[in-house]
Amino acid sequence: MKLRFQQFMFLTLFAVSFVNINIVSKVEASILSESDGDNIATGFIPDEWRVLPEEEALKGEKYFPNKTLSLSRDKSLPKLGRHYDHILSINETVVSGLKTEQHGMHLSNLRLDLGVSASGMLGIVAASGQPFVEMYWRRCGGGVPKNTNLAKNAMSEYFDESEYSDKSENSYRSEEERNLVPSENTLRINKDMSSSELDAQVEPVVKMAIASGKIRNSQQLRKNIRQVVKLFHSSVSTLDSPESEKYQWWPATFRLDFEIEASGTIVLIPVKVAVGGKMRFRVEWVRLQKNTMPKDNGMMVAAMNKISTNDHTSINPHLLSFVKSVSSALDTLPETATTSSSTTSSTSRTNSEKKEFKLDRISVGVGFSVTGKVFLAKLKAGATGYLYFKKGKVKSSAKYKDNTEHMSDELWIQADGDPATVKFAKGRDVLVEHDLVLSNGVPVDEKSLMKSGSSDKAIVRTYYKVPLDRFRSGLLRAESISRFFTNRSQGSCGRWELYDVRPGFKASLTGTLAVVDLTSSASIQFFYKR
Amino acid sequence: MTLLLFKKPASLLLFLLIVAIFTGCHPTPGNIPLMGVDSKGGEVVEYLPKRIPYSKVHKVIDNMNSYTLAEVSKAAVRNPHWRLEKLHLGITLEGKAGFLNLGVSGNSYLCLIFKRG
Repeated sequence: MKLRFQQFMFLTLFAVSFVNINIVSKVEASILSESDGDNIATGFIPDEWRVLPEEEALKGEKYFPNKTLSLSRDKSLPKLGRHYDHILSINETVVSGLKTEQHGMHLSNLRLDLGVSASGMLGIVAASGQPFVEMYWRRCGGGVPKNTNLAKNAMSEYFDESEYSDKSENSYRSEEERNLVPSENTLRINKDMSSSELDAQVEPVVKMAIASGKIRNSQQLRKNIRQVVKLFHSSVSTLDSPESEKYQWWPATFRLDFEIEASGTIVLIPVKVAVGGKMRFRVEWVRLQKNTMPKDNGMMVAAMNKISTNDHTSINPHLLSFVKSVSSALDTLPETATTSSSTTSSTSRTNSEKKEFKLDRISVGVGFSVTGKVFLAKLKAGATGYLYFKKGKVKSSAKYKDNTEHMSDELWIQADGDPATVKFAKGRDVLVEHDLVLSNGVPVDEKSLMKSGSSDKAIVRTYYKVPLDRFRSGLLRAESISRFFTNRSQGSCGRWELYDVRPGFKASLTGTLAVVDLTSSASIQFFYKR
Repeated sequence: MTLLLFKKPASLLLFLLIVAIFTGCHPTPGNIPLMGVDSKGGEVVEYLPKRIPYSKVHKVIDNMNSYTLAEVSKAAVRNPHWRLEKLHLGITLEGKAGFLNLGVSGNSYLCLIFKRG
C-alpha cells in the first residue's frame, strides 16, 4: 500500500513536470520545439538566397540561376520563419521591461542587427560584422516624449524644418531617420546654393575641427573643405535634372564621407568605416523636391533640355548615366513591392494589429574608378558614397527630350578580381576591366609601377559590365527575399513597435543579388517602413 | 535516507529523472544564436547561449543605462558649452553566462538611442 502511494506521487509529479515543460515551451517559444535532434539552431538562410553564383561555381557545385524566388517551395523556410519569429519574440521580452526615462533623457529608439554566419545561420550580431537586417523599434505612438517642444527645438538647431516640411511621400526623409543621423558634422547642400552659402556651410565643421585642438593649419583646412564642397556641388548638380522625373525611383540624396588630417588635408573615405580617433565630416547632396520642380510643364521641359545639352565636367555624364540606369532598373520592381502584403503573418499577431511595411527607400553603393567609371560598389570596401533613391509618383506627363547618351543598358559592378572569378565572368560574356591604384587612391599604370619597383603596393580593382536586365532580375529576387522577413514583422507591441527594417544584399557579377553575410559587404540596402 | 524511501531502484530512477528535468533540462526562453566577426583573427564566431535569462535582461540594461546616463550628466555639467541631445548606447552580450557590458554602437547586441526630454 505504501509503495503504491509512493508510485502514485511520483507519477503525479512526473505528469505535472511534463505538462509544465510543455507550457513553458509554448509560452516561451522554446527553440527545443523547433529542433531536429541535437541541432538546436534551426534558422538557416537557404543557400540559394545567400551564395552568389560565382562563389558556388568556384566551389565546383551547383549553379543557382537568376530567377524570381518561389518562397513556398523551399522546405526550410517554415523553420527559418519560426526562428525569425522567435528572435523577435525574445527581443520584445527584453525591451518591453526597459525603463524609458532616466536622468532627463528618454529612450527613443532601439536597434537590433541580425546577421548570417558562414554556415547560413540567422542570429543576432553581438560582435562586429556586416548585419543582414538592421531593425529599428520606436515607442508606440511615435516615441514622442512628454516634453515635445524641447526635443523639437533641439533638432531645429540643425535642421531647417521649413525645408523638410513636406510630409508627403516625396519628403526628403522621415523624422525618425533624420533624428538618427549625425547632424553636427554633416554639410547638406542642394543645387540652388550659391558660393557664399556653400562657404557658410563649411564653417561649423571647421570650428569643430579647430576646437578639437588637433589641427595645425586651420586656414589650409578651411580652404580644402571649401574646395571639396564646391567640387562635390558642381559634380552632382546634374542629379537634380528634371529628366529623372520620368522614373518612379529618383535620386533623393548622395552622400560622401571625408576624414580630416592634422595637416588640414581632406581624405575621401569609404562609407561606414569604424569611427576611430580621427575627425570626419559628411557631405550630402539633397534633392528638395519642391524647390526643383518648375511651376509649369513648359519650364520643366525647357530646363530638362538645357541640362541634356549642357557640357558638364567628365564625371557628370557617367554619374547621370549610372543614376538613370539604376532608376530604370528599380522601376521594374512591382507595385506590390512597395507594400508588403501580410500573407505570412507572425503567429502572435491578430489581423487588427497588422500594419504593412512599405518599401520607402533604396540605398546603393557608388564608386568612381580612376578612368571615370561610375560603378555599383560594396558599401564598406570600395564604395565612395551612397545614393539614396526614393519612390514618388511621376510628376508630369510632359514629353521630355530623352538624351540617350546619358542612358546605358549596362551597369558596371565592382567584384573580386581573382583569375577564377574573371574566368567565370568571361564564360558568361561579361566584360571585364581592371585598373591600378595605390593604397592612397592615386591611379598608376603598370609600366610606372614596374620602373619604381613598388608593384606590391598597388591595388588591382576589377569591374564587370552587367546587362541591366540581369540586374533587374536580381532586384526582383532581393525584394522577394526581403518580403519574406517584412511579412513576418507585422503588428505592434504594447510599448514598442518595429517600424524600420533594412535588409542588405551583395551584388554578383552576373547581376543577381544575394543576402549579405557577416564577412561580406552589401551593395544595396532596402528600407522598409511602416 | 533516500534508499529507505525508495525501496525499488525504478522508483529512485524516476525520482532522479524528475530532479534532472527540473534542474538541468528545463527549457530556457532564450536559446538564440549570437554571432559576429572576431576582431583578432577575422574569423566568424557563432555560438548558441543556453542560459541567458532574457526575461530578466532588461533589469541589467536598466542599471547600466542609469549608471551611464548619470555619468554623462556629470560630464555635461563639467562642460557647459556642450548640450547632450542624443546618446547611442550599445549593449554587448556575453552569451555563455548571460553577462552584459557596454559596447559601441554597431558592435553590440542591442543599440539604445536616448534623446533629451
